[in-house]
Amino acid sequence: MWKVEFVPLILSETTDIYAIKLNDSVHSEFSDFMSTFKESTDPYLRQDLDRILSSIENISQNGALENFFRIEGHFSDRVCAIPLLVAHRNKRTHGSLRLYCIRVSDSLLLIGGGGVKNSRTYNTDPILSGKVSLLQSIDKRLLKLESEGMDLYNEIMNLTLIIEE
Amino acid sequence: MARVRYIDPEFQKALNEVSPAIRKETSYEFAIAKRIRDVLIRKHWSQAMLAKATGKKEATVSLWLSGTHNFTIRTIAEIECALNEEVLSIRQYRKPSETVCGYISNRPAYTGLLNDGNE
Repeated sequence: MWKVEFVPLILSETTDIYAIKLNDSVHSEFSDFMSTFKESTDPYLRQDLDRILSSIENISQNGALENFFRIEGHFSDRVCAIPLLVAHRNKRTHGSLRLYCIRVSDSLLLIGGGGVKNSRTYNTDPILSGKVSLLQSIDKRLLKLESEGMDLYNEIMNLTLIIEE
Repeated sequence: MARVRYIDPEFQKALNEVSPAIRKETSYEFAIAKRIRDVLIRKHWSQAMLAKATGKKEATVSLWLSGTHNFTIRTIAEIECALNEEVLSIRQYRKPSETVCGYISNRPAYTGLLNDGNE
């Protein structure tokens, strides 16, 4: 069972970006992602992290526009990956970073966790597929709340969800 | 620039440690992508129409709009010609006039420095 909360990461006049926090943890999933790869010995992964951080900054300025994101989940959900220009590398020895999120709208983005993508699709990686699966469950609950009339943009900061595994 | 109401201190610290060149490069890529998108919307063009007009694949246009594409000058020129709109503009910097400061000193070398290299 997961207790899910949303903590503000960047709030701008264009886009509000929140990080997802699980089970009363001190740090959000995104904070753990940053800590893990900031100290990576792989220079490609450190560069990927820098580019992901810059992308998030630019999304807050330009909007969480649909064309910025890679669709990662199913067509029925809003799970996607933060855009990343992957520098040329030997993919057999160096994977690339993936950070997953829920793009609710042009003005609301919820960032989850991520990891190193060494395989062609995330489904074959247990860590990445776990991250995506959790976001899909969260998105399903959010869609239900929106269909019941909740204004997520204004309520997300005070929202707590309980997601069954 | 959109006004920022709040930024997480840990994230701000991590962002400050990113190389300025990467931050600037990323900001250009996103700004160009958004500019192209805005022009397409205003002209009621689809990505497919831009692809046809530039002779590129739709997947290429999708990459242009992703905010992660490292554009060449040539590509920018082709897009601008296809859209008949400016996507990228260069600010013209004017050299200050000789007397913009009007400083004088009894040492000619210093006078030149004070007046932006003009004596």
